[in-house]
Amino acid sequence: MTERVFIDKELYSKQSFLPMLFGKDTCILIIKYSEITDPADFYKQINENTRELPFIIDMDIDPSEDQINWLIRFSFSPSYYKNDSEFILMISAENKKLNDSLLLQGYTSINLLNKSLLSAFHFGKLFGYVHVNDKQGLRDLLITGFVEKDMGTTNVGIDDLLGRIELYHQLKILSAEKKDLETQVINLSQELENHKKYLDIALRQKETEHILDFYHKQYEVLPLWYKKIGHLIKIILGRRKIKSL
Amino acid sequence: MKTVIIEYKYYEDQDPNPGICEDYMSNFGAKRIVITNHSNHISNSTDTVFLNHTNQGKDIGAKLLGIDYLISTNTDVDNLILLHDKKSPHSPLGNYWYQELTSVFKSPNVNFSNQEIAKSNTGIVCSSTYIKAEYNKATKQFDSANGEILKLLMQQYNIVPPMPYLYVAGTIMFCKWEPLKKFFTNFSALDIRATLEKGNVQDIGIGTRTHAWERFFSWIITSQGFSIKGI
Repeated sequence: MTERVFIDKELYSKQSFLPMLFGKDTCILIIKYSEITDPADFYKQINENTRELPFIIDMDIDPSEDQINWLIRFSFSPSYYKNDSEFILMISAENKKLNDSLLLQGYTSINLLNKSLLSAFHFGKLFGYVHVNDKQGLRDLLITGFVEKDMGTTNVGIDDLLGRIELYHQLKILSAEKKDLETQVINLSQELENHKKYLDIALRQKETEHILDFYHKQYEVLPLWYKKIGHLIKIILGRRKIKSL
Repeated sequence: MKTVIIEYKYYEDQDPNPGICEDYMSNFGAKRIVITNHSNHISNSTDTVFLNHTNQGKDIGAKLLGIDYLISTNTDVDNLILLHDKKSPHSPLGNYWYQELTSVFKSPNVNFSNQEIAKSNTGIVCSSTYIKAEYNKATKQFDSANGEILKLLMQQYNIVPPMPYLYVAGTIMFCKWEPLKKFFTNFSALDIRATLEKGNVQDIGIGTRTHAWERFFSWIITSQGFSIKGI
């Protein structure tokens, strides 16, 4: 499985060794649109100067029509990273106007990496997003920053990084399973309570039957004359009135 | 005089870096903008710009993108050479068409082309074989499937080309930048590109905006008082 690693441009400018860490061929720069102060100059630069790494744009602003046009121009640069002509763009929210403009310029395959829909990862000093490309079965990492400004000598290897990401995903799956199990436990507990109540009633029923049986065996079976003498004794002793007979 | 070459390379099997007319054009092309449909082109010089566009508007879409590049980066240009690796497989004369159109850039015509384009009233220098006119005075219609689209474009952009509506069939030509700059500064080439058809469209029977713009390119220049010089 080939992994692509998208690295924030600012991060790259401070830690330019990162592509070496992840493998230079798999690294792509993320350039925030808001940081492009002079689009004409940027357009010239990306086409007339040799760039170390290919790039994609992070459309971190709500773009105007003019800004969408500049984005389209940037997208035609050979430095703009594409996977089999698929145009890749990082966005924060869906934008119909942007989407329509790209379609009008002939893009049929657009891969919008919507940050709000991606899973965030955060481990060690690195943080960013994980993008799972269902079509190609690829897992992309979008590393957008460090927790601390000074990274020091962090030696996060790609295997370690991917291992942690894998663990993170497993954790997510396990968390979901845990939630399911917790719900099941609540349901089962309720059912158990019901069973207990039923059993309680059932047991009490048995006790009643036992008492009745006991009563029957101890009293009902006695001869009638014996019971009548018993009533007379109760009246003599004052425990019963003659009217109750 | 600063001449910029805008060339469209549709076919991938050609060597990506040398230009279509590399051997005889390097003398006067100060800058090359090469538009392709495929990636993996790396510029080894600041004088050559590669753009990887989507397959839209055939060579016209690519040439519009090249023009948009010059305008959006405010590049200093005097003359423009518009080229593409035309094969026209639908036409039995496809190869001849290409050879004829590019003949103006080859020896011995190239010096004459340079002299002609330097003249103040010349707007376009091209092969005389492919200067075409489709307007029929009697019917007041264009003998072309693109006629209706052409009328709409003339109206939309307020372009009134002189009779008999001459144009360069194939849009491979040497032309002045000033009239194109004037037009495309007012009307975004990128916006126009968005209106063109996708893929390898033909105008057989039904007109296309792409083929209409092929004619309109020449008219942008001739409508501003410049002439077409055929060699």
